[in-house]
Amino acid sequence: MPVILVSSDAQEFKVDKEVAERSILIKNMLEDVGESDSPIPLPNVTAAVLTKVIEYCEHHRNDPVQVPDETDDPRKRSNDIEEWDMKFMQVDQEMLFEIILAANYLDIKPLLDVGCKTVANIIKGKTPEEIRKAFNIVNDFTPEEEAQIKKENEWAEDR
Amino acid sequence: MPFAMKFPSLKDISSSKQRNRPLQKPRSPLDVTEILQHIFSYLDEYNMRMSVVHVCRKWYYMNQHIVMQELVWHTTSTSEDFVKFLVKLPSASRLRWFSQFRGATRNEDTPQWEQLVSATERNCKELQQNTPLQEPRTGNNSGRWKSNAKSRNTRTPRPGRTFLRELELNGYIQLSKALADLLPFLGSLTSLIISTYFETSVFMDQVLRQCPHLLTLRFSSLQKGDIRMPSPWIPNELQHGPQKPTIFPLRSLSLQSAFVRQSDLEELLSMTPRLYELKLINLLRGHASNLQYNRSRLIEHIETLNLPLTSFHLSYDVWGLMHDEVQEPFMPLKDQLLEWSFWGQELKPRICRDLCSHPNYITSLEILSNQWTYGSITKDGLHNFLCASPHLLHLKVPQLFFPLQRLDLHYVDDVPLIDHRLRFNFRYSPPPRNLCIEPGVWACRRLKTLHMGFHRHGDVSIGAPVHGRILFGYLSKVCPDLQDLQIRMSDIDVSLQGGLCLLSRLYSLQTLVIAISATHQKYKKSDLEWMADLPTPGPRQRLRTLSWLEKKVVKSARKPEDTITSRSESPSTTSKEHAEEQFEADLKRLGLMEDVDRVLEDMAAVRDFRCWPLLQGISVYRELDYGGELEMDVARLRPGKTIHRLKSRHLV
Repeated sequence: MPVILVSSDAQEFKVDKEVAERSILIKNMLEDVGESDSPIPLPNVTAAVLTKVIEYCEHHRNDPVQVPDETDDPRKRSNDIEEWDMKFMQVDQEMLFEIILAANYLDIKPLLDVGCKTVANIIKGKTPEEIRKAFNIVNDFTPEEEAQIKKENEWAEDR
Repeated sequence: MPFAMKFPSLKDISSSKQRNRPLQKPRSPLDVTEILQHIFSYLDEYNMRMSVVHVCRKWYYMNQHIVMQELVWHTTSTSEDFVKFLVKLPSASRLRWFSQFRGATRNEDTPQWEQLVSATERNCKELQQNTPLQEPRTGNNSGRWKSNAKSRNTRTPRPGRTFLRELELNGYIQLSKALADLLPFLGSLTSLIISTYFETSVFMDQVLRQCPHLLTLRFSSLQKGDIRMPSPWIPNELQHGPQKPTIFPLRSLSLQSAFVRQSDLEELLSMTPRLYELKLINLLRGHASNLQYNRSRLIEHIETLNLPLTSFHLSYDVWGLMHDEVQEPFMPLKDQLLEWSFWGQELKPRICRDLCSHPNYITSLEILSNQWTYGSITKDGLHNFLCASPHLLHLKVPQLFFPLQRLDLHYVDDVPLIDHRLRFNFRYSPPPRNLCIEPGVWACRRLKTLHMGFHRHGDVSIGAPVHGRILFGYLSKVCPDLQDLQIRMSDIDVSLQGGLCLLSRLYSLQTLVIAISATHQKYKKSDLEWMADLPTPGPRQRLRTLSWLEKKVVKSARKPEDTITSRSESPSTTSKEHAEEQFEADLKRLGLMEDVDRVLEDMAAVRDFRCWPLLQGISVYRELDYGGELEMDVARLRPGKTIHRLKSRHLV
């Protein structure tokens, strides 16, 4: 049975229920209400972003449900991203951030994971100044604080 | 009139949920603390320490407790260094101690050790007086961000002083004495890793009593020694005291060359429900009946416990066992394991064949050993396995010599006249034809970790430049995603002719360790300039010059096949087929000077070329030499990235 999703800019999207239910938020809403034809408003997601999110959910519609990680195995935190997901995430930074926010709001954990991994990969290997520039972050340290933090961590180089 | 029930519409639900949310959504996920924490959880310790905490106050306060401050000490260092070491000790969250052989003087009787124990005791007592003991953080568990970052900051003893969370002791350590000295002050420890050369004892109940937060516990006996682990393992008060069953938070347990009573082990496993890594390596058998192992019973016990194991190893000394008793090492728990590891001495040709015929989904393979191995493993099994294992990501066989001829795809090394001018200092002896090994291309093209030694058909020496070019060229083309590369005990030419610079193609490289066994290798300082950390006009200019000079050499070398497509003619690399064609064409340059020449040209062509942008540590050194000239030259070029060659030192 199809479900109708409405983006913040009032565009309607008709998707299969099993696709929509990749979002735990939507799944819970549907379970709360039961059978209904009412469209589901998603006021935090624009049409452009919702299009991408639906594309992701369509591709992963048959994936097994992710179970919470109980093992704390650090190796599960590697940055191995599937090829399709990597291509899917090749978008400009604004869209990448919008997808992550939408995944967080809609509670789609695999999409949130892959979005966060992508941002982590952007951070890797960059200097603090390069990171600030990439994400438009203001350096709010005083020069004294900056020197202190550098001193705290510089011994890693001096071992 | 009955009360009319009104069910909410989806619109109502959505709107009501919205009322509880901020009116305006955040502009960036970096403004949402939980998402930011999630992003940080994918970053390794190096990036956190070197970049993230320096970005802004918020990022600093969120992460200052996660970043480990590592302190390394080697007993051959100077007394001045030890003074600096003691000053830093209270701020260290991870301590690695390497003890050299000292003849009759035990590590535990030296003034340095006594001062370490005193300083650890003093630090522990002062912290306990001034700061409530915090739940130790693992550095990787998902619950680490739950408390408020600001409140954590007010409680922290850092930056001046912190609890020791991880301890590693290596070398000539008498465990029973060392642990008795230190354990009372290690209550906050989450990781304890010990590798010793001595025959010694570990009292497991003391370890578990004093360090209840341990997540990682590893005891290894190296070479001649062995470790005795007498009963009981579980502290008495926990065996008979509380009603509630005791649970240890242990995630990883590894014991190598130890005498273990199986019932003790089984009892501990019953109390570690979160164990994901269990390695029981070369367990030693004794004459007593309680020092024999029943493999089937142990496997059955582990399966009953339903542990979330993803890595499991079980091997014991096979001396005196009948052939049928030698285990089938990778059969148990095979459905849930992602990582396989074997004990080198067990790897008979039959097992290697089985390895290749088994459904191939593993991502990690490790061959453990306490001695260098040539033998039958490499002759058939491992190379064939690598040629048929596209899913493999991590391969660790640090004490195995792999035959270089397997990588020589076009028999460059077999052409006697090619490059003969560059074969100086090389004991060249062509292999007999009937022993010639067929080369091949590994299928594991996404390999991220490779620890391996290389040899050349019975002759450990691979010192001719052509061999270096084959090896480095092969790795850089076939395994371009390598992040962690360690090449051990190889006689590799590090000059430009040897092609070490071909490794500059490994864009994702984070750790590079090359241990060279020969002392006669010649190189000029300019041979290494290509790896300079910071681009300056100087190195670029040098590269151009060198590139020009090398062309002379290329002229004398065999030209690659005419079928090689030049880079300027190559169409878009988006085509998978074309990428494969290009890959094959690139491999045709394997071993030729032209391969080196091209990579030098590529470097010179890129403005502000940055070699290995993700590099965290590098060490290129002579394994049997203390001179350190080569290592120092590499350190000069990559300041702040050099890994000390501690492992090699304590082997001497």
